[in-house]
Amino acid sequence: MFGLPQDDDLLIKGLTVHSDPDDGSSPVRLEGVELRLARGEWLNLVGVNGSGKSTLARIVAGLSASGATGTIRRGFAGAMPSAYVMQQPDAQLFGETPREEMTFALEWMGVPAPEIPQRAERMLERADLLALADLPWKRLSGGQRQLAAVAAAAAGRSPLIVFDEATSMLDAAAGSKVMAIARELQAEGTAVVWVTQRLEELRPDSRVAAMAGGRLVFDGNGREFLYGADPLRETSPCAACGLRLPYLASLAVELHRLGRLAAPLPMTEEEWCSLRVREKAGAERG
Amino acid sequence: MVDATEGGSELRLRGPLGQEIAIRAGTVTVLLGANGTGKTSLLEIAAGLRDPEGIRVSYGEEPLWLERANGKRRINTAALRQYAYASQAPEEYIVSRTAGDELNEALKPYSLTDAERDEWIDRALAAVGWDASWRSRDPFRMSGGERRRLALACLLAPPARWLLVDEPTAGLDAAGQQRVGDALRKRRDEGAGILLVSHDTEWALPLADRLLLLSPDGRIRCCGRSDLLSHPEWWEEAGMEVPEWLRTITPLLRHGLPPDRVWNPADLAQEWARLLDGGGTGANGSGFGQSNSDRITMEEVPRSNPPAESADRPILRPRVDREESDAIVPLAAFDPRSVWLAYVLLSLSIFSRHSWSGVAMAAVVVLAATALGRMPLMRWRGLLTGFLLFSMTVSLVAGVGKGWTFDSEAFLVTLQSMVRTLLVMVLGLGLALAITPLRLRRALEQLFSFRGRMPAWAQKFVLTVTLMLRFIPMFLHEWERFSRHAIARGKESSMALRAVVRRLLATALPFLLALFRIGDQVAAALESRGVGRRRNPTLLRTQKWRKRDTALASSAMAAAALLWLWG
Repeated sequence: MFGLPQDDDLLIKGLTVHSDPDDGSSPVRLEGVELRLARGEWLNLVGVNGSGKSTLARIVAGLSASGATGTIRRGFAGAMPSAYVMQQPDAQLFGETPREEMTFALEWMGVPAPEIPQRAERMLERADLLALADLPWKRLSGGQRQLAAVAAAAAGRSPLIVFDEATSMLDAAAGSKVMAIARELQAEGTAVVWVTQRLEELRPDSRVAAMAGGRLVFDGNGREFLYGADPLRETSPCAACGLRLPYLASLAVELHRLGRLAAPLPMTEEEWCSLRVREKAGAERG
Repeated sequence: MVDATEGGSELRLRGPLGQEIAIRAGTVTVLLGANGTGKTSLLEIAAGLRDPEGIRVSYGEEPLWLERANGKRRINTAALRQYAYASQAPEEYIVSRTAGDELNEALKPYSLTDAERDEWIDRALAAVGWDASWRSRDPFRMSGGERRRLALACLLAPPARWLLVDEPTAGLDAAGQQRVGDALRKRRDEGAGILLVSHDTEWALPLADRLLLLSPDGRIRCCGRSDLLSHPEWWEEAGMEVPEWLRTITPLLRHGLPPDRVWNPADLAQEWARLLDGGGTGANGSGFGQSNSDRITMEEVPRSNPPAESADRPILRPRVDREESDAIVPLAAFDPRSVWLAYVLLSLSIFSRHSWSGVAMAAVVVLAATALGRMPLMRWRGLLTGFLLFSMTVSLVAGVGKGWTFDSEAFLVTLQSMVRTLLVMVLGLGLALAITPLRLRRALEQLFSFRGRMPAWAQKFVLTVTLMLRFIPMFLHEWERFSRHAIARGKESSMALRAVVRRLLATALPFLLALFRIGDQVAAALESRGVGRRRNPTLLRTQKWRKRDTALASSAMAAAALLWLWG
């Protein structure tokens, strides 16, 4: 559905992770997960807390996981761990100022010393932090700190970057900024795994994989995830994996139920704005 | 049976300028505001967990703080018992080994008979959909969602008239969010007053009787939820974006959709259909039916006008968490190596003083250094006072000899060595403030490296030490967070030894668990940055030894020589 399999795809087969690495009968965090990720692809990974999405995200990022069995072929992502951004900016910032953070990141990427100051400057510019480059973290807002963490993580132009609920602590404005940087990275060819519980971040045609109880229960596009193939006959995959259907999506389903709104049901603000709602049940499509 | 409705019927917050916000019992009040505005701080002030910053809080007739004769404040435990409190991520504060113990702990501050206590616990368990068999369950063997549910039961268990709740839906699944909503509604209907911080408007607004919009400047607008629907500019006035769902349905509201039909999507869909069919809505029917007889189009909502200046909004401005000093320490301008050298020289000379006059001289040197370096030592006053008390205790213990005689010489010798340590510690703290850990790391690596390479052990050692320094402020922050919560939970401020030990335990265990979580995240972040995987990171030489560094090192040498000569 999302392009033909390629030789350098990141491929996960039969992945099971036990919560106690030494005990094969302990509860599982992941069970029989199959996932394929192509170079440059954008994958949204959703699910409630405890569904295993974070465990899977870490494994996709190539971080060490104890108790994991199954096949993992990292393909285009390479052998080194990929860039990984978490919820809390403070636990992933090691410098005391944005510039120091970029320098630290570049040092560990093995960038030659003479190139470091210039590249740090460019990274700060991209994250819109140039004016704040030498201020201590406490003078920056949570959103600005998270942007610094994203910029530092993306320092090495890694072929894959994993965002693990990176916007959940941010307000809408800061969240969309982080998202914008992620989109920029993808436009440059970096594959993005975007773990989220914010369903408003999903686009109708982008790929969504949903986790529930350690299993991958859905892999399709955003609109199918919210509404299912037929909203009136089946539970939406979103509700099935325990997430609350957003208000506007519930409204669309209710209008559809009344025969006022035809599929495809709207998902974004633009779609709602250009929407025509039918006057009477059974009237022709608007 | 304790009557949950006794006492006054309003929770009042009175600002420094005398303006007041009153929250009525039997209502749900939702506090909205942009990130970093201080919603959580305001809730913590209402709960007496932090300095009230001039805001006076009272629960009915009970003021939260009592003035003592000496002008100091004391928290009023009768007011503390009026509320139950759930912070963000309340499951992180669970300490007991069974769910029953945790619930008992929540009820301990209330004088209840065993039978009453059992009844409240059973009711709380039932409210979260659990039966009595859950009492014996171990919270640390529960899933995250179950622990969260136990924390909700602990919020609901006490016979408190007020519930203060911070972001209860964050990280919960749909069923969990529904459960919290139902439980809060039920308590409201039983007469409880609920103050709720939530950014999840889709969930919180259907619950709300009143809304408080907190602006970044500390002004608060108090309104009903229907008012908020017709005033999108109030969101922007409070520094928030109008939520997408509201932007989308605003054209319908302008066409006469009754605001009370908004809260349930099924109601709204039916009302929408009725409007389309020309079914009229009484007063607004005519205007709508004529102008838009065919269909309602969801045109773009025009941006609202800039908010009108409203002097009527009271100001309740909690201080948003800030470190005491933002000033850049002058020492930061020096090469870390010169600062480090000065520190080592002075410390050595202080440690070798063995007369009281020498120690006094050393104290003068240290004070001069902190003053010249403008080191913000106030930030560490808790630590320094603690160390001073510890020194006195140790010295006294050393002085007590056989048969309860007091050996003043032993006392003084011990005290002297403790004072020397204290002086060196003050210098060290100053050093930590002046040089950021990564600069220190780089300086140390330059000292240790040979031909641009450095042995792996030295690299590990330096990185570990400097990262520890980096995360100390975060550890302090976490400790403060858990100790605040221990007050909300124990509802006592007594300095009696047993109470202090109890609070300490309720702080220490969740603190340690938080350290593990932070450690896990830090490790993941380091690993993803390639730290530990790449053998030889670049050694960046950013420091240059300048004249001022020579000057600093020589003054330190002079001061050290002076101390040596003094004896």
